[in-house]
Amino acid sequence: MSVKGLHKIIYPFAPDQSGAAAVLYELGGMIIICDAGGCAGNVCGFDEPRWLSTKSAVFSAGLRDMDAILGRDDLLIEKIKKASAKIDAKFVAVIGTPVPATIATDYKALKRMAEKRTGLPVITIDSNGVLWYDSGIEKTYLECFRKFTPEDTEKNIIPDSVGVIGVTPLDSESLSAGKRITETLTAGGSKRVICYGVGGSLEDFADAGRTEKNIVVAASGLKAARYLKERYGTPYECSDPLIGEVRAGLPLSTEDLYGKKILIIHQQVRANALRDTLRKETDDTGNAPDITVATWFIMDDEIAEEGDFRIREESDFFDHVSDGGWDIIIADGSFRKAAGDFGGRFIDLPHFAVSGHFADEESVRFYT
Amino acid sequence: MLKLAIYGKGGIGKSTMTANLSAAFASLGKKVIQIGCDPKADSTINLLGGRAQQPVMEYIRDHGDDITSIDEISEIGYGDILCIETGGPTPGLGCAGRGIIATFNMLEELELFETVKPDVVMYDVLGDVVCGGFAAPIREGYAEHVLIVTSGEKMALYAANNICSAVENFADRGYADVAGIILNRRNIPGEEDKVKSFAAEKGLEIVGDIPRSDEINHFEEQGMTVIEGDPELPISRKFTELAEKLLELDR
Repeated sequence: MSVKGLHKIIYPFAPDQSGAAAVLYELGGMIIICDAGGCAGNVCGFDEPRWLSTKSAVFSAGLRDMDAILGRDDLLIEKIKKASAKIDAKFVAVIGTPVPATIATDYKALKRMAEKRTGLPVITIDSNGVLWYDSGIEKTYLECFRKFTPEDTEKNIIPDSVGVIGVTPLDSESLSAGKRITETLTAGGSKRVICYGVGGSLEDFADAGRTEKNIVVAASGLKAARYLKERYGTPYECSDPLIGEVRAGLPLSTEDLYGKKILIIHQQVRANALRDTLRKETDDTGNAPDITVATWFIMDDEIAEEGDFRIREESDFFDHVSDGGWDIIIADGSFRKAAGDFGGRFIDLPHFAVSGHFADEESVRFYT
Repeated sequence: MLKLAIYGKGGIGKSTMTANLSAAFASLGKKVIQIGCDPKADSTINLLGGRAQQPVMEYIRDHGDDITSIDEISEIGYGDILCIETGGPTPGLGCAGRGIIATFNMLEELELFETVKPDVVMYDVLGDVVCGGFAAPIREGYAEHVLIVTSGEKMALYAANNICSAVENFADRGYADVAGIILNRRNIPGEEDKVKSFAAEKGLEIVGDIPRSDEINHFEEQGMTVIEGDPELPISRKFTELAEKLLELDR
């Protein structure tokens, strides 16, 4: 019997509260993980590689049994008020976890009360710890743009500017991803590159309505990009500026690809970009590989090809690997064990949200 | 869009008031959604010809929570009223309040209001505000006004007072306000004075005065509201007048 959601071999992935915190980590706010303590520990200790190198005000709400039973939201508001007096925070973010999800905490009310008490802008993210990291990222980008991007009545577009949505350590192979994306896009002619949430500040969001275009590097950024397009008319495209170096790091020659049936498992935008790159290499050979993209995370129809699929359960993964007839699987190394007796080639493509620190050493070896 | 939540002591007639008001709104040409928020799931029964619809929680138990369409969890009743019952867990288990929240989140994901574009949404809530889940219908984005159903009986007024206190406690949360009291008469001695006195103490208006009526019971036996049964009856006109008055809240 299979139990829905149970992983027996594959690691549990980063949950949605970690995704939410990852977007906010460098923005100079006070991040409150609304939990008893364990979720904040998970965010900082496992899912946030910047914790050891970059300062950020991440707190646990420290909810206790009776706080949950009695619904003592006012105590949390008092804690936030006290902390905000000691910290020069630009905003407050309250990030949900399973505890408030279970007792149905009213985030709109928390936001209203916290803004009144602190005088700071407050955002709340109704993550619940049950969904994966990409859901938290998706909600948080959207909330940040809604809250911090003002109406641009003058349509004063910043020339040669580009916004990049979706850069977080959870989807990146290293902490320098934001810097390298900026360098790549700058070398391509962009004069102002904003990687929202990475290497920048909250003020970047204020300019989001004035950028020429947005690049979405992870599917979790698509909803925010669509919002910006609808509200400000900013066009967007899905691409991965770092795909060249990702491809270069794969131990696969062009000849290795000929006529092969390949499965790429990652977040959808990176997997798509890699598929496009591998196809281009073999375009003129008449022996192009048959490449399918799969993801455990957001599978957006707009950028999916026929045959692409979402993996929802560990048993799905086993079935797809054993029944797919693949010659090559390109995926995070942590899936290698779950692939069991897969007889083809398994090529590592690190994904921090999947393997966390287990992938660190592999990542370093892979990209340097 | 007029969004009302009906609260009051258990057994005081909330579902009867709600269903008749929904029917009255519908008879005035309004598109109405009625959401029963009581685990008993009997709010909409008299809009559906006496048939109990499958509550959302039960549907989830049977089919899982991967609901993609409002049609899966709703039924269309008298006057094209879209009926939903949140239902609850197996009696004695789980968390009913959490079930209400989960249903509301699901309705939001299904974009209920955007899709149906109702003129009036009625939330028929379990007797009292016993926990966060039962306050969900008056959270920001849901009902904007609370109507409290009471008779002149002591315990009904006690419950009404509790509901007023709960709403007062939510003042800094941006929750709904109490728009008034519906007096559902039980014909006890001094009933009108007692309710008037309570309303005055709370600074509330008695927006509706519904006399005790055998016709209500008569038509409920047939699985319908008095509005559906005979819209020309004096009791039906009471509900229609109240509906017209409540529509003023949305202007």
